[in-house]
Amino acid sequence: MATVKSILDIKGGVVHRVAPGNTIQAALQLMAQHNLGALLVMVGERIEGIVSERDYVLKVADSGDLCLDLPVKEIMSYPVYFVSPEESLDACMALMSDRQIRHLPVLENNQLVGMISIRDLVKSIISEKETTIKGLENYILGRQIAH
Amino acid sequence: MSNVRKILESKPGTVWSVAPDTPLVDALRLMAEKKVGALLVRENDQIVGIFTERDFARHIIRVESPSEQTPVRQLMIERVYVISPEEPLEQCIALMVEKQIRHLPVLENDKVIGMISIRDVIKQAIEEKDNVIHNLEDHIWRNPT
Repeated sequence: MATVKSILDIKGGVVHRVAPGNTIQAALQLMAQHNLGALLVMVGERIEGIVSERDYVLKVADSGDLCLDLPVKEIMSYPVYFVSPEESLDACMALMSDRQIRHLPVLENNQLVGMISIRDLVKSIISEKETTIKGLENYILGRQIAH
Repeated sequence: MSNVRKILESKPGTVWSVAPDTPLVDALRLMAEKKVGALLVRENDQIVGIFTERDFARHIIRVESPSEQTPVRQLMIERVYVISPEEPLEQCIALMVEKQIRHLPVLENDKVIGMISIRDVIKQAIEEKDNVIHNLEDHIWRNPT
């Protein structure tokens, strides 16, 4: 079963972050620049929260104001759900579905080693299951030929 | 794998839409209330765009003097990718991955009959592939060499 590590091996471990006091405007600019849907909110190496497009949409819907100058700590989500590099992709998908989230930071021994998105999972899970099916089919075919 | 119609069967529901001159804040409220990430933008029964959380977060910082009253027209995406209910899931996944989109309106005879999200597609795909794997394993188990 493929794990989170297999995704990080391909995509690398860079995680984009903002400070709790950074403005929403600055966070949106960073997301746009790197084509991301979420940023970790960090103070030094400590994770304070996660801020996503969804968090911002809900804030504007709720307040009726664009709030671009508010600090991200006003809209970030916490506690932050995270996974370890050894976690299976199916377990990650289940967590994302249950919590209706699209991003999971990856922690190893309390150290941040990456972040995975629902899009990363889609690609990996599908190709992994495809490979399993091919393998089983070949196994059955091989046995039939052997007979 | 099966097709898009299969997803719609397990996810019946309205496709939410707004007019292009709808103020931003009203569109966002509709999204929040209905728990959806995308709205169709329609004018005179024609699809003129799609408005998503992603487009809002990306483009609001580029709008000149943005306001909560800014019309959806200024932030919507006019090029709308659509899919037919007979399209296989593989096709759907490929389109979403390639175009970097999370939502696809489903059209049948020029009528919108649903909207599917990347979450719906992956859920269905995983379920089906797990079934295939289960059946193959079962077949091996029942037919010992």
